[in-house]
Amino acid sequence: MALDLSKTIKQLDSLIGRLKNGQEDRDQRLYLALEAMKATSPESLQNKLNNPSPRPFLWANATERLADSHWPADVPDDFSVISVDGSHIDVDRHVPVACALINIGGCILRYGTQPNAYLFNKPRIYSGNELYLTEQDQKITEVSVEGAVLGLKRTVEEIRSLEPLLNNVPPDVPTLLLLDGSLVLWGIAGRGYPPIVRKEILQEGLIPALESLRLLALNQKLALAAYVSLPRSTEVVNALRLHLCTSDAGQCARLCSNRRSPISPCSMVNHLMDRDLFERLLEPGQRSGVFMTNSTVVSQHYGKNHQICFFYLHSGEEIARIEVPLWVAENNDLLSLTHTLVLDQCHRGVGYPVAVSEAHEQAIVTGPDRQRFREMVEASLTKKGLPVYTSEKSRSKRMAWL
Amino acid sequence: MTEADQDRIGEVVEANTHNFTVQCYRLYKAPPLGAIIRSVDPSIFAVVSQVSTQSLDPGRPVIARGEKSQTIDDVYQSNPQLSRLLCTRFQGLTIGYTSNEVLVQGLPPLPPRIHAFVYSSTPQEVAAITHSLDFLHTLVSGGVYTSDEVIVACLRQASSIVTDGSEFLVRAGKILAIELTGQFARLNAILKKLT
Repeated sequence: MALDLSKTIKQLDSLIGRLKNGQEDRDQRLYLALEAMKATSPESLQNKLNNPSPRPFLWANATERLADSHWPADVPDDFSVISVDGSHIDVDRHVPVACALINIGGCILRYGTQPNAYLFNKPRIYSGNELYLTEQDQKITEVSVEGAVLGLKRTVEEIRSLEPLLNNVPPDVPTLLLLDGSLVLWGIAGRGYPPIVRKEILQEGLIPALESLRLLALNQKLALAAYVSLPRSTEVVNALRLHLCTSDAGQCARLCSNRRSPISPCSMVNHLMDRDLFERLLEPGQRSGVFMTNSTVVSQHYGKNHQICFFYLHSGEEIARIEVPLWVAENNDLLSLTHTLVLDQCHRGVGYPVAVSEAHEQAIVTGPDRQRFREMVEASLTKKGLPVYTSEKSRSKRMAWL
Repeated sequence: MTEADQDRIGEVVEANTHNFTVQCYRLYKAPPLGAIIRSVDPSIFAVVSQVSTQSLDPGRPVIARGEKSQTIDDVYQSNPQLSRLLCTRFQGLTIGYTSNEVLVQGLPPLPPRIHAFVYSSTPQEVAAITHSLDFLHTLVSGGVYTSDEVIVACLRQASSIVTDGSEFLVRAGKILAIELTGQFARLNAILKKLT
């Protein structure tokens, strides 16, 4: 049976009613939070944020005042924007061959005196030992590359694919490498993965890829950034929360959760997101100051040069979170280039970076694609005279008979 | 001149007995309406009709992008990806083919293969295929596949290529008068546009 919408709509009405009732209180708290943000002095903020005690929430380190804002620079005459994105088909135990597919799609867009575009995608099938992260010490440790681990591997492959693409743009042309989503591999934290996962994904995957880009950026105007649309993060809100907090760490740990506090003045920012604040602080085109994430994944594994910083951008259509590695954040030219070109991309893409959008279109693996991939696997097996089988569950789902 | 030396226009992406669709290699570089083109291996001649430019991906509609641009070229320069995401296609109405190196006017036994290369016809080829004017019967009786505007455009272009264009048009007019017996209004409209 399909979803019973008549039962669902009643619950939805109730939910919307509760939201509406809380709107006035939320607006009032948002106003107070903004006033507090503007009144924050750099000294008091730095003192609080740089000498933290453990708290049940994640806050950003601020490099400027919380409410600082900046206008973009002029768009360069000539520049390139490169973007990649990935999509995958996970290992499916209902398919007769254990294999996964990662499809990396991307684009190189050249603007200015020699406008041009290059769109591409590169699918790659992983099978056999490639489907395991293996470490052999006194005993063999193996982790299957499927599910969330495959997603992490895909992210690494996306970033790895950037460096060879730079051969297609002149080194004297300012270039922005723009990714979709976050540079922080949040998925690797707190899952209890064995060390081999962090080793393969971070130490031998993501970090060397980032480092190769950093080294290239020493000799050319090259910036790396990631675009998060409609961000739900609360790291700046939590920085304000920490700044406002009058409790000691012990009391905070006893009374507060990671998303709300029952006591004033911290409760002022309950349920607010960073984008709520910057939607009211930034003019279209402006960016916020630069913040640095305190994520343990980043602080423990990314190394000094690749700590992840971020700022918020009012693209004209939405508040986006733009993440950059420290080597971009500390270089005013690259930071300004990132701000200017991301904004320019949003304008060209009717609110969303056109390069990210095109990379997504190149990378996407649709539902029908997945079905055809499965059929191709079965056809290849048949052609070679190998047995083709499927699970009864899979067959039952495909043939929902009466 | 060998085929490899000629400008190749594109490739066949759909084909049936009466017509085939060609995707151009370059955006907006379709031959003009009424031009005679040729697919190869085997050679099949056709008259260009219904040129169109659209999104390469049917699921991605084209949106207006030029509100802040001064010219249409500015729009393309500001959005270089467009040249990769749009494509120009045209239909060719089949009028003849080559069999054992003999030019035959009419429909071929089989349509061109998908991905068959398509070239502009040389003046010599245009002169040869239009010499007997039998192809007019195929165009006139093409039903939904053709229109009188295509016939007019084809004859006009061919008349500018063959040796005696005026004589060519007179001969064509006479054949059309036979083909369109009893359809005076239609014949009159075509002849008006040819003079």
